[in-house]
Amino acid sequence: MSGIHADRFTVAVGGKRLLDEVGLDLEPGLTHAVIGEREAGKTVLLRALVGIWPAPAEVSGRLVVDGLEPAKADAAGRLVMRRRRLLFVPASGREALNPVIRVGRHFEDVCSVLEDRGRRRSQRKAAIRDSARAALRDLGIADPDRVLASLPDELSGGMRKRVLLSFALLLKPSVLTADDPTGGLDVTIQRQLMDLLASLRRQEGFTLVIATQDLGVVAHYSDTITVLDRGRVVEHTTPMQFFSGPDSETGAAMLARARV
Amino acid sequence: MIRSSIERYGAKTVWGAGIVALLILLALLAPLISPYGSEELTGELLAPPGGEFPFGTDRRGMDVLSRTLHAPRVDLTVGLAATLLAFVIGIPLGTIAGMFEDRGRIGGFSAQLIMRGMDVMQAFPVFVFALALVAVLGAGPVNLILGLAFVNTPVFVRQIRTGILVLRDEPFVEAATIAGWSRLRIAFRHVLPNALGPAASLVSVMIGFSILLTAGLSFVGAGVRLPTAEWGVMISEGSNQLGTGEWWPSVFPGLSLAFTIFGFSLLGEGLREAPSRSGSGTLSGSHRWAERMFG
Repeated sequence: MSGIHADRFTVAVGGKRLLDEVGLDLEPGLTHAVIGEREAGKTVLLRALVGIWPAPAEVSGRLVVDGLEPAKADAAGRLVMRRRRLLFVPASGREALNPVIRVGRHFEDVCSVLEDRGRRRSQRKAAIRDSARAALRDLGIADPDRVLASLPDELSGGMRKRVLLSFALLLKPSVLTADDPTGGLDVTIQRQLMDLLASLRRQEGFTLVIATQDLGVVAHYSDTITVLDRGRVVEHTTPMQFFSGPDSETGAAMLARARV
Repeated sequence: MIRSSIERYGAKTVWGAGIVALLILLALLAPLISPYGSEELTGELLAPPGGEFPFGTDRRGMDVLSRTLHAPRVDLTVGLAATLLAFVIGIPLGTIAGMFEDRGRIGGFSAQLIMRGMDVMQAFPVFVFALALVAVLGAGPVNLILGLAFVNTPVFVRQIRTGILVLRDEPFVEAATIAGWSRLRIAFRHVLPNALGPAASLVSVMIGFSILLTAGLSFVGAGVRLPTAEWGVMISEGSNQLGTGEWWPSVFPGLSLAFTIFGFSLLGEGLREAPSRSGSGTLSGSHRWAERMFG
């Protein structure tokens, strides 16, 4: 069973429900948007879909992602699922990249999970460099060698986002969740990045789930919309229906604000 | 040239580094530039400063200038070696203590063990502790280094641990954890390099402190012994004559000692302030620091 299916899926930490009986049905190979106000649980949901939650969390309900059931696996099992198949791209490249490690070595770290042990270290390194260059070019970076030789702080916000996304592309996931992929970028770069993501999704055929507050991005790129409010799914709909009149209060409030 | 360096590194760093560089140069060149040997008896006892003996001679007839110039060869070596040894020991201990605090049974226990050990070491007054250590090990430069390294280690352990505690919940650490790397690898590869900057700037201050301790221990006879040229020994030797008006055998080494410690403290302070000069936050402070200092 591919795609993403959740039924009464709950993640709670210390009695507080971060996700409250979430039910989802997301088709494979499409772009799904998760929207909601701050603290609505968007990030928690995106992370949970790839099997990341804090260690003391109580997880209940059913979650099937691309045939895998992260909620039933232990930490090691979820790790195996994540390596390759389920990927999460965090919102901030500034925080997610170690400031003292050059981007090229970040790539080596990321790719070392691919484990082609047959080859020698130097060969493996060269191969990683090559694929890193290709992945960065795919994301519209003209001078990948400069990026590889840079420290994360020497890159702009948009560049860092691209670096994070290119990690994801190298690993060729079947489900990719991206937290606020356009946040903090200027409008032209937002467009570029989303166009790239959309075309890559079509090429590679993975399922893309994005969390955002930007309804413009939602309108242009998503196939379905899920509205979250305090950990609950309050609406699941298509952009067409959503923009002609959302059913939920949260959705209506967000739309009203976007129209101002 | 000095002005542009001051702009880039800050006045404290530049002047501190200048003083330290001068000292190292003098220590290296001492045999060439000093008029007499460090233990050479000139035959003139307690000659006042001036003429043939710019700093005078002490009661054994040794030239104070020559001995003052030779002294940093001992003091700097002991101070540097003791501090670097403490730094090298402190890094892994501090990293483990920070990374594994409240994490798991074995890790948490090791962290507790390290920190309580440091508490015990720091419970004694530093000077008395160093005195006792050297007394047990026996006087001499090597034992002095070991003793000083021992008393300096907790300072570095605590500094590194604090840095690690601040950093260990950063998103990039979490990312590495999620990617499945072991906690030890994450500690040394991802967290420690970010915590090193402040600890490294502490090195300079601690060298100054170690030199002061070396001189202090030698003053009370627990460190370097006569006739080796060393500031503490010289001050101690000359102190007998202070009352009778022959001040020069003590005052010149004393001033040199003060100047040296001032230089190292200044350099340490300057390095500590370097990251904030570049206007970056604490997280990227370390590499900014490295960039400013080495690149």
